Order: sequence, then C-alpha cells, then structure tokens
Amino acid sequence: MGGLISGRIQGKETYDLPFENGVRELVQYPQKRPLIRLTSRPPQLETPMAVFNEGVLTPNDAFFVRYHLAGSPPSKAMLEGDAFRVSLAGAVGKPLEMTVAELVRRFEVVEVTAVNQCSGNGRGLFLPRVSGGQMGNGAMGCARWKGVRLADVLKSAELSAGARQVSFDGLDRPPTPGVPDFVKVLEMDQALDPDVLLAVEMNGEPLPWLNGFPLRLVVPGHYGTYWIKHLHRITVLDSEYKGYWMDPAYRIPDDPCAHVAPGTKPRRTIPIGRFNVRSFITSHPEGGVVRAGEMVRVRGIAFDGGAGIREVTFSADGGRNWQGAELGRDPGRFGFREWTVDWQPGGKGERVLWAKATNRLGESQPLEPLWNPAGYMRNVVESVKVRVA
Amino acid sequence: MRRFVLWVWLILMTAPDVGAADEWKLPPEKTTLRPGPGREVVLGQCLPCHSADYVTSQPPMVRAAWLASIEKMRSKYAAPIPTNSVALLADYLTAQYGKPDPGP
Repeated sequence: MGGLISGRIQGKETYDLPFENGVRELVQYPQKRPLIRLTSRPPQLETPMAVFNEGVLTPNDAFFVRYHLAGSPPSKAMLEGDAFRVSLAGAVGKPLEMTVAELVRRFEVVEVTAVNQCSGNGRGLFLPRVSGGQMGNGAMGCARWKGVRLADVLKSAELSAGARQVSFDGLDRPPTPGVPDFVKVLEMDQALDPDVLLAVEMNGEPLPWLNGFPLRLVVPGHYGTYWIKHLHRITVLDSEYKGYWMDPAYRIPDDPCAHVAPGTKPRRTIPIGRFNVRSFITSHPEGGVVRAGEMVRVRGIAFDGGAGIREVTFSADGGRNWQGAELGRDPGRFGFREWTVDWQPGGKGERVLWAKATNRLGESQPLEPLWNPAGYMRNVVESVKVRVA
Repeated sequence: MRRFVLWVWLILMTAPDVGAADEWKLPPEKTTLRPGPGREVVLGQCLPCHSADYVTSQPPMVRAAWLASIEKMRSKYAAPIPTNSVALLADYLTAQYGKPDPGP
C-alpha cells in the first residue's frame, strides 16, 4: 500500500499511488516540501507515506492540504495583520469581533496534539472505485496545535438559552455565487468540548498559509471537514443548520461501521464524525527488501477518534500469526501513537506485513475493507508487501 | 536625489529574494485535457470552477458514472452546463477518461 517515487513527468518527479490512474506529480508549494499533488485549483496535496516514519509529529512543510473551492486559498491581503478578524455572532448576548492578536491576549492559550485526517483518506483504494478526490493514505497528519478554547470564546459571548449549534465559515470562497460556500456545523455539546480549539500555531510555528493561516478550527478526533481553515465567522444557531456541506455532502451510512454492500446506496445517512481506528507500517515501503535471518525493526503509527490506542499487533504471514508491538510514548489520546516490533524473517521470498490496532474501547480494524459510496472512513488492516532476500 | 534613487533601485534589484513574494504564490496549473470531440465543452463549462486534474485523476468510469458527476456539478455546484451539452460532455469524458459499459 506504500507508494514510491517512480519516475518523471515533464522533468518532475512522480509518485505512484497504488491504484489505477494513481501516478501523481510531486510539486513544491509555498512553505511546503515537494508533495503529492492531487489537484491544483483549488490545491490538494498529499503527504508521502515515508514522512510518517520521521516522527509522530508531521512537519508543517509536509502536512497535507485540502481545499474545496476554487476561491482558495485566500490572498495575503485578506489574511495578514489587522485585515483578518474573526467574529462570533448569532444566538449570543454579546457578539465579538477581534484580530488574532486580540484573541490570544484575551483568552487562555492551550495546546493539544491531534491527528487531522481527511474523510476520504484512502479513497483511491476503494474497490469498486468511487468518484471524488483520489488519494492514497497520505491525507492525514499529526501536529501540536496551539490556540484558545472555542468553549471559552463561546461562553464569553453569553450563549442564548436556545443555542443549539455553531456554524463555522472560513475565507476560502466559491468560484461563483451558485457554488455553496464551505460552512460546517458542530452541535453545541461538541462546540463546548474543551479540546476544541481556535488554533493559531502548528508545531510551534504560525499555521502555514495552506493549512489555514492565521486561524483554524481544531476538532480533535474528528475528520478534517470540520477543521475550518482561515476561520473568520462563527455563528451560534438556535435552529438546525441546513447547508450543502452538512447535507448531502460529508455523510456516512447510519450504521455502526459506516458501510453498505459495495455498489449500493445507504437508506439513511448521518454527518461524518469521529475517526475510526487505523494503523500504518511506515518503516517499509511496498516492494521493500529485507535480509533473511536478520532482525528487522518494523515501525509504524496508530490512532483513533480519541479513546486512545491500547494495542497494536503485527503479522508477517497474512494473519496466521500475530505478535504484539511495543507502543511508543503516549502523545495524548488524539495523536499518532508510534509502535515498533522486532521481526526476524525466515526463508527468502515475499511476505505480506500487516499491522492492526485496537483502541481503549476495544474497537479495531477489519481484515476486509468496508465500502460506502463516498469513499469515507477507510480503516481496513493495510498491507505492505516486502521481499526477503 | 538622482543618486539616491539609483541606490534604492540597486538595492531593490539586488536584494536577496527571501521568498516573500513566492510564499504567497501558487505553482501554475499544468494538467491539460486530451484532444477529442467535446473537449471545448469541458474547457468552457467545467474548468472555470476547477482545474483539469479534477477530471484526469478520476478512476476510469462508465458513461453513467460520468453522467452522474455532470448532474451533480449542475444541480449542486451550479455549473452552467446547458442540457444540450450534457451528452457531448459525457461522450468526451467516457471516451478519454472512462471505460466502456460492462457487457451483459
């Protein structure tokens, strides 16, 4: 499932995602190292799998980028200094509007380590294939996010008794007025969760332009669709929000595993929410070579929607035998958890390596992929084929 | 005064480019569409709202799937694609980026 730097298109390096029509250019964007370009207008960039072997924090210059609307990203003039202001209005007693500098002066600044992952991470691996952004598994990353608690800001604005939901709008704009603006909604109990931040920094630096500078919503454990970038308008609602990006977009089958029979449509859907459990081998790419008889250290990452990882097991024989991996430092329940395992391959030949994580609720990963028509929430046990030589 | 202007000019022209300008500039779009009947319709009615790679990166899809994508763009994303262009558009996408319908 890895993906390799495989060739060149018009003089540029390419990256071969492991599915049909998966050859992509590696392109350098502002504040980024060369990343796997899925689309250019608006920009969508994927992180090469090898980056996740560098450490449990994904460097800012390698962090994936996903926009929806061609009026993105917003220009420098809209984002810098006092030109950028965030407002909070709607069903509140005291509406607010302030610059980012005022926001961090007025409210307590806190930090959380959390994974952000695109709802469609791994969509290109769905079979049967589904339309949409055709990504491998690199539309994810883990960072230390610093900012103020959304709950503190909401409370300071004095919520009305009938406040039910909160909507979030960023400065990324539709190309034409008929295209629905990208607005997302949290229920009030989610919005008041102290882990939800209005973030200004990522891994100790201001947010990169393409990751939401100067302010983005961080909703730990939840898919990236809620992590509104260039966040400038927060609205407290006393009725249920109706809008394209909440319904019909970004919805999953109303089923505990968010799946339907391949090729069929769900009868009922709900908004996508928390991550399911995932794990990845990061130390060995697809097609990698290891030496027979020598001890090999296999490394990877695991994460879930906020319960925290309890266990990772490893198999080098297609699931007949499993061995427990050693978990690395606990980054908090929302971060990438590193795991390592020492494996001594026996005879020569091909081996299929699997890693499978279980969270503290006992939820794990299926051995067979689950399917849904939008290509969301892939969490099958991924495999990496290596050659023992 | 003239000398001062010259100095300013020299400093501006020779100052190391710290990337300040590039930091806010995106690399150009490069993906192009394959030639074929209907290509002009895609250029005129699809690409104003997104780059060509939104089309070219899709898995090979049958005509009905391309039609569903076109319909989604018209009904949900306000794409101004006239009804009488839909068939030509679907033909082009299926011929260049699709696959034939599975046999019976």
